Amino acid sequence: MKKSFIVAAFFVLLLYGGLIVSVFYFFDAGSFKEAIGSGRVMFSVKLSLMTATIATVLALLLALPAGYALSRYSFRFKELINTLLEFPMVVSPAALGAIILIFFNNPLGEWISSNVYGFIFSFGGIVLAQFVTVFGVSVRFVKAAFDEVDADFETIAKTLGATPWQSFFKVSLPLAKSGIIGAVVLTWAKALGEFGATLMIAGTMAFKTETLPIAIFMHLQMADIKTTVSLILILISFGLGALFVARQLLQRGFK
Amino acid sequence: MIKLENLNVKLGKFALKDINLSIKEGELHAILGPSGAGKSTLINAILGVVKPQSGKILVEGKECTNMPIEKRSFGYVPQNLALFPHLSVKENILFGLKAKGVKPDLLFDKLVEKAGIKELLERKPQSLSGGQKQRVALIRALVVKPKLLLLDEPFSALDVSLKRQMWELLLGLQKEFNITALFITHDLDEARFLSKRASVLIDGKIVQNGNTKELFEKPKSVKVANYLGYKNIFKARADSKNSLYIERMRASVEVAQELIPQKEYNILIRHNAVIFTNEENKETFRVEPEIFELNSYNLVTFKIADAKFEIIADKQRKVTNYVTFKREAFWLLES
Repeated sequence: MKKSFIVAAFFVLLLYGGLIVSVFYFFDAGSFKEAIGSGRVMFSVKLSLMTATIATVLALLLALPAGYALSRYSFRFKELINTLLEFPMVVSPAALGAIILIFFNNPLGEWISSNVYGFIFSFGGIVLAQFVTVFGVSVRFVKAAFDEVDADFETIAKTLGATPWQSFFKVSLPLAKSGIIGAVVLTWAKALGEFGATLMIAGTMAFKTETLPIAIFMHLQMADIKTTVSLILILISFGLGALFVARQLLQRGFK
Repeated sequence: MIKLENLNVKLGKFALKDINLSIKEGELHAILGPSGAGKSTLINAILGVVKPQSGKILVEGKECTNMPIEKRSFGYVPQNLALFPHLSVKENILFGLKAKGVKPDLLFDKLVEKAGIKELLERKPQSLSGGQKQRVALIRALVVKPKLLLLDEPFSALDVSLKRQMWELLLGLQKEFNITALFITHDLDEARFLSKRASVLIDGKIVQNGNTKELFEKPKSVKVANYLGYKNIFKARADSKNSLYIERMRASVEVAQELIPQKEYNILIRHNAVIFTNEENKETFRVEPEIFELNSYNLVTFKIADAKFEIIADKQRKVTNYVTFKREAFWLLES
């Protein structure tokens, strides 16, 4: 039994490792250098890093209290909220983008577009698309991180005289830290790779709304395989880099 | 003085019903009871983690039933101790004072000294032994001078000798600092050793409460007697003012208490009520005793008609084929 189960685990390596390695079939160092030096690619990289970071910060700012509330308190509609967290996962990103587009064609959406901020085909639109896609997942991760912290720790903190805020910041948050770092990294990586909703809301304008995944799509459409491969490798290295940094942080005693 | 008045707590299908309890200042009060009796729910209700449906919690005459946990000034040592793993021992102990913005006073030094944890202050809880963790958790709860210390089976994971050390430490601290404490235990020896007064909680109700020694010697009901491990409890009917007919024994026994004729009773025949004799007369019963030799005492079992008896006897105690009963040692129980 042990062997056959381990073989199944190795399938992970075979599948994802194999796919990554296969990209190198079209890898060309010259094209990679050229891609990195290209203003359009660099714009995409910067745009992706900025939007993913802003979307992650916004998502986490809300996910921290929301995840905590879902982990600790009983309140009305809690189950409904819990179910809705998976909404972006069950609806395809393209449909999610379309839903956001439809929203901005409603009276409220139109009012927001003309009086607050125009999200369509803009930087803010990318952030919004990424935020909507990752928010539910980040709340789920943060909730899981707080679920891991025994509620007795908070009770103890309060019996010792700490206010609920002190107990949250001095006890719950530090104890959930490793889970929250995981949530940050995965949220950020998911935002960085967001494609469908971004395409719907922000479009594919070079030097304006062309994020890394959009750029991959555009270059593939143009049959520019070498640049596509370079862009894929950049995206992969950011994702794996983030996971590596998170691991280092945890090992350095952030746990 | 801490008082619980008609406290009712509902948690799903489980309920604590009409809990009345008063704990005097400087008293160690034990809450005994089988698993699922509601002991931890009671602690959570007193702490303020669980809201009671009705009733009052009074501290020195002031009501604190709906007060937030942090305002109650109750210390707590849970079963898992919940030492903050990200803080050192010292930071754990000083957590409460720091949260309140109070500088550590002499009490901190005294408690640390008494508990013998001075050398551990800079260490992380994960590196401590079970007994050391217990000490730290206890001192952390005491350093903020709680009005009531609540302990939820804190010593249950320790081996016998460590347990004994912790009991002595707790008793020593209690005497020196006049600590008022309520502790949950299912260890009857622990309750006997530590508490002056005790309550038995069964199915969400306090079924008996009073002086610990008396509670152990004089259980009020069959439930309490069963919980305390008593054997030889039989249903009986008074056939006169001082005689009970025990149906399973198919015989009557004389009792010291005054009875109401024809009323149903439950009689507890304690170990020391059974006398083995060689005499055969109308007051003795012929038995075929079986002796199970245990390490420190013998377990003697025998039957009188359908009534099975289980007696714990000293190794030296003579076991014969006739028994009679010392009527002063009978004890009557409520159903």
